[in-house]
Amino acid sequence: MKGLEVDPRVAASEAPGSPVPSGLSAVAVAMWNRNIIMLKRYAFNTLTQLINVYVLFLVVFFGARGIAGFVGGSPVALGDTLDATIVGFFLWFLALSSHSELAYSIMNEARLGTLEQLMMTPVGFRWAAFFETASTTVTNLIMSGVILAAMLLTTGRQLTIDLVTIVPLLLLATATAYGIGFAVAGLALVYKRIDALLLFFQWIWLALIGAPALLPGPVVALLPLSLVSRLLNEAMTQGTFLTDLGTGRLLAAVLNAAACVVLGVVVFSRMERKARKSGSLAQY
Amino acid sequence: MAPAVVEAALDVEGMRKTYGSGGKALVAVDDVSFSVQPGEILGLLGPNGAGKTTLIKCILRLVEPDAGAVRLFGEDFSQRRNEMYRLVSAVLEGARNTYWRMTVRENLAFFAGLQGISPRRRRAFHDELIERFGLTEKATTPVNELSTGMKQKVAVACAFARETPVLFLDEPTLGLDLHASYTLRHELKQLAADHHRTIVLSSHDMDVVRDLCQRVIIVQRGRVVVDDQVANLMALFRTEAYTIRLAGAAGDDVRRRLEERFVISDWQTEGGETRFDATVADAGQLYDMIDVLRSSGLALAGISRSEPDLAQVFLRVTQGESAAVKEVAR
Repeated sequence: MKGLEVDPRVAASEAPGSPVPSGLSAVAVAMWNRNIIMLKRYAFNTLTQLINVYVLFLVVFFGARGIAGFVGGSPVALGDTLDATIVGFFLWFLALSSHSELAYSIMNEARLGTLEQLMMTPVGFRWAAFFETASTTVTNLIMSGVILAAMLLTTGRQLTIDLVTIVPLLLLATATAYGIGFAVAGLALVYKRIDALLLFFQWIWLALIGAPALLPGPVVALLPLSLVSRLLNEAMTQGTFLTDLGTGRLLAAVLNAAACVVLGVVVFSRMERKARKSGSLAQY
Repeated sequence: MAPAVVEAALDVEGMRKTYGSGGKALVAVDDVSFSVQPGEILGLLGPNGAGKTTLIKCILRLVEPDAGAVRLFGEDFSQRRNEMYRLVSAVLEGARNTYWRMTVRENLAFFAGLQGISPRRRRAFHDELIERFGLTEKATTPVNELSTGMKQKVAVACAFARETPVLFLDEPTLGLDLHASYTLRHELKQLAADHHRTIVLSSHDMDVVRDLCQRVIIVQRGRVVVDDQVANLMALFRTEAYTIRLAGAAGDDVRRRLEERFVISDWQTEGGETRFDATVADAGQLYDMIDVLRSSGLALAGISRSEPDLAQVFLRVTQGESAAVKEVAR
């Protein structure tokens, strides 16, 4: 039984060359659906990723408690540090999953030969990539929330979770991670063996998140993600509201994230052009 | 604008691509020009490494050519790659082309969506594609779990789901068994006709090209060495190729004398009899050849017109006998 829809053959057999309407919304829906389908099919991977970060957190948590007990301090004294650690892990997971997912998926698609199919979209690859990252942002935020909840339950700590304050900060963090992710993915198109660099990146993110504790303010403002890490920490551990975080610092954080996105887009475009020239867009 | 003139669906002009530079430069595509009429299925034939895939990717701008223009239905898209993708889609060789973790139907929906077409408005069309490619029972199976032939059918179906008037299919039957290759060909032919699609199909399989294409381009070392109707090529060789048997073993001197003037192949001497294939420019040359044999004192045991297939044409053309072919064609 055929449905009552418009017969597609009419559209397909129109005068040759007549443009098919290229609806951005259809591309957005396609990308979102693919993301959801892949999450379900790769449920095991997704779960493993969550558990990895959680186990690592447990090691740090119990390790720190053990050390504190050994030197005679009480676990309670660890409280403030612990809160900061939870926020740090939360942010780390978000940055890591956004960054590595993007870079890995582009590298993977180049290797398997679906990237070229993605490139051949009438709306342009940039829109496809934008919708892809937008949809994974939603799912990554949800998964980060799960990690956060698990850490809070394990430690019995309480943090301020004011969505008006933290969602904008998390979006800045995501934008930063995607910007760097695009740059790395671009480099991967040209310089193929880059997997090791990607693994190394998890420690770079960790260092950037921890930087505010060690480095002076102006330096922190220049590093990717570090300032957002400090602001998120204040918002969640001290309950500072968005507007009380300081206009100057917020502006710096926005500019910093924007710079990362611009860097990512510029590097990716240049590398993409280079890959097209050398014929290495596909590596299968 | 002259509406009376039928525009070529695809017009490629002066396509050139060189990888590397200096002494290591490799000319992958060397000044290739051709055009394809609307509704035509053009065969792109050539040995491995002849530059077929690079040529296709240059046309699709997945590889940036050094020079060359591509016109679709008379319009130049050189500066507008994305707009061109409204009109062309492709199944590329060696690539997966589809998402193996997604089901057949999910893939069709995804690629329609990527093209900007809402799959919800195309359910009937996708049903038709699934049915015609014999995938009805596998519609909700992840592509991963399908046979090679079925995977390839899904890739072709996804290209059709993009609803572009022009399709590039790079080695669509590669690695398929005879049956899978046959059914894919059959459906391809039907779909192309029913939906009035223009197809450029590359293959190194003569049967596929002979079965599907009216016209064929033979590419060698990045160049077009032949651009002709398949029927013409076949006819050309059918009338000019002979198998000759001699009653008695012919010596090397005879062979040399023959080879000086004619295109001789498959020379065999067995059980006191010599046989060989000869390609001659016309019937007159055949008599000349028989004269040579007579003057050598050799008796004819048999002479028959050999049935060349496209494979033979292809081999001769690509094995440096293109000069002979051109001469014959004159």
